[in-house]
Amino acid sequence: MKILIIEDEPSLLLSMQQYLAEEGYLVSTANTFREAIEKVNDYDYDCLVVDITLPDGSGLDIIKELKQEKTNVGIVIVSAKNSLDDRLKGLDLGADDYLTKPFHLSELNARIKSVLRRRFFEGNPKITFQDINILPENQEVFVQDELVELTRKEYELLVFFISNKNRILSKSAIAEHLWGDSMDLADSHDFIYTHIKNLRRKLIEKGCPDYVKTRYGAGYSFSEKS
Amino acid sequence: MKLLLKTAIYLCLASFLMAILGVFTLKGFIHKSTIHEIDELLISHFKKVEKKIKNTANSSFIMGDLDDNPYLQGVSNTMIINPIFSDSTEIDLRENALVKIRVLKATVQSKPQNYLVTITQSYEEFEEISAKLSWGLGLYFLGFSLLLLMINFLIYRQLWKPFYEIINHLRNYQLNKSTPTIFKKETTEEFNLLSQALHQMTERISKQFTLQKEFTENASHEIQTPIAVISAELETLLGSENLPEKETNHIQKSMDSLQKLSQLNKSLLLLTKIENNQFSETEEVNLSNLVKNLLEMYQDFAEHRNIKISQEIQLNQTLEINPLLAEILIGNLLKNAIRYNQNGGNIRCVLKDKQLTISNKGDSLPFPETQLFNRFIKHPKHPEATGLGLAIVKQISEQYELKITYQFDEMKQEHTFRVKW
Repeated sequence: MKILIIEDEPSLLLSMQQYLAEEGYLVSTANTFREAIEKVNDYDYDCLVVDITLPDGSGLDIIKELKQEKTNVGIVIVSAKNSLDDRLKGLDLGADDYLTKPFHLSELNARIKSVLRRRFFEGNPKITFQDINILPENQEVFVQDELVELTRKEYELLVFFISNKNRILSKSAIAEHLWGDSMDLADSHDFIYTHIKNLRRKLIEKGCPDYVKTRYGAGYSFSEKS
Repeated sequence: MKLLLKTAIYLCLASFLMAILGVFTLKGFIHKSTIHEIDELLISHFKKVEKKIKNTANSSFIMGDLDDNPYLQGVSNTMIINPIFSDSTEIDLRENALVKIRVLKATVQSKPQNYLVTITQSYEEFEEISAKLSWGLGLYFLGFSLLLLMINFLIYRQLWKPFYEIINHLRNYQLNKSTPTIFKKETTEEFNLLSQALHQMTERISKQFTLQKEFTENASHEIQTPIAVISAELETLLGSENLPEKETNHIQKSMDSLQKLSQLNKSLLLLTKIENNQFSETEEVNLSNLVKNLLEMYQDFAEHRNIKISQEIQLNQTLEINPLLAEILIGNLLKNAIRYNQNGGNIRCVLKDKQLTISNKGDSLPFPETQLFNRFIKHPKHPEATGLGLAIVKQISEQYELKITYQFDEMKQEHTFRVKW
């Protein structure tokens, strides 16, 4: 999977590049509008991460140009502007998702995975992790073909975990992913822990090994390694 | 008081004074002229008498006039009086009243004796005419002034119409909606000047407003980007293998604070945007559905602390408001009701008859009630809060003229927020 990140802030660009490269993507970068347009015209990408505010142009124009060519590329906008106007404009132009800065790299990763899933596994998108199979269309989770009854939050948590498998997820990243803007209510850490504990229990009951690892002070990770 | 009425009063006062002054000046002037003419008349009369006396030897013949006018009186040769005029009165037999007369006294030199001639002439009639004329003219002047005023009253509305149109235009002017401030070209020069000046002014303000808006947005953008960098760096750091627990703790704390900083920046930007009226698009928002959705969204948090939520929501309660602001307004109140609740407490949410009431159990306020909606007022037990939630609630309420009240029931230890519209 090839990803192009268009972002003018060099250190943020580097962090994103590293994180996504570790996920196994082929990552290209562009930090100006011109460079981005050139790369978009010369190569094919599966997903674009676009910052709207670039020094020499608007990321929205890149999306416009791409969408005229009717390519099947997934687009995630990252913007410091949390303005509804920009969000709607971006999504109207054909972007798949919109992330407001600052964001967690794990969140960006999860969003890209979800976009790619929707674009490239039409009809049969399936998330697999060891003996866990997830059908995102019906929001159903199976462990060795046996249905696991999860609440919506537990389901979202599991998908988020698997999207970022083997990585440490901070509590705030988890809280923001699950509760978005109302995450400030989730300030008590045992609140998140309760949800994680329930998910863990339900998976273990179906015969899964304990994939959820606790890293004290840092957060949690979902990993087959012990 | 209207400008028209004010000018009318001043004009009335001035024309009244002018009329009075005019009457008396005119009267005085006519009086003076009358006396002058009468005196000439008397002199010519006197000349005739003088001629007659000098031509007639026997003066007794002359003295036979019936009304004693002129009245001749023989005096000694040595007495010579040049013509003297004086004012006097006599009884007019017809009107049976005193009337003003003019008297001329002079001597005519003759032999053997001189004659003192006294000629009188009444000028009462002239005075009467003069008075009638003066008052008549005064009244005419007043009448004319009143007529002018009436014309002014009648054409006032027509003349000032452009002015009221401009006022109306300004009243409806909204900075954020960039209503066109181009006014119709009028035939009145002053109004054209006014509309031109206003047009220029609104253009300038609008430009300034746009700059300000851009600045606030850009400032927030500029701040969010370094926050995003730090956040990404910390997350990468956190992900590195074999990090000792102590260091992890430090990173986690930094990330939490960073989160707070970002939240604070977003809230301040939101406040500025509301203040600048940048959420001007409104629609009929179904608050019943909104409250239900929000309650469902916060259900997890409430359950976690064993807080019971009871709700009484009338269907289809609507309000003309910006949908995003409606969500923030109600969301902030509900979040507060959960955050500052006691474990195992309860929340009561009632939406009916254009009124939303949210009550929750909780300790009394640690600060004066008057500071509740101020910015950066925080509960000491909750340092993680931004202290801007209720300030935003207040700002939104003011924007849409919603009445928000707070009450604390000491007996039940219950806080109640009420929003009316």
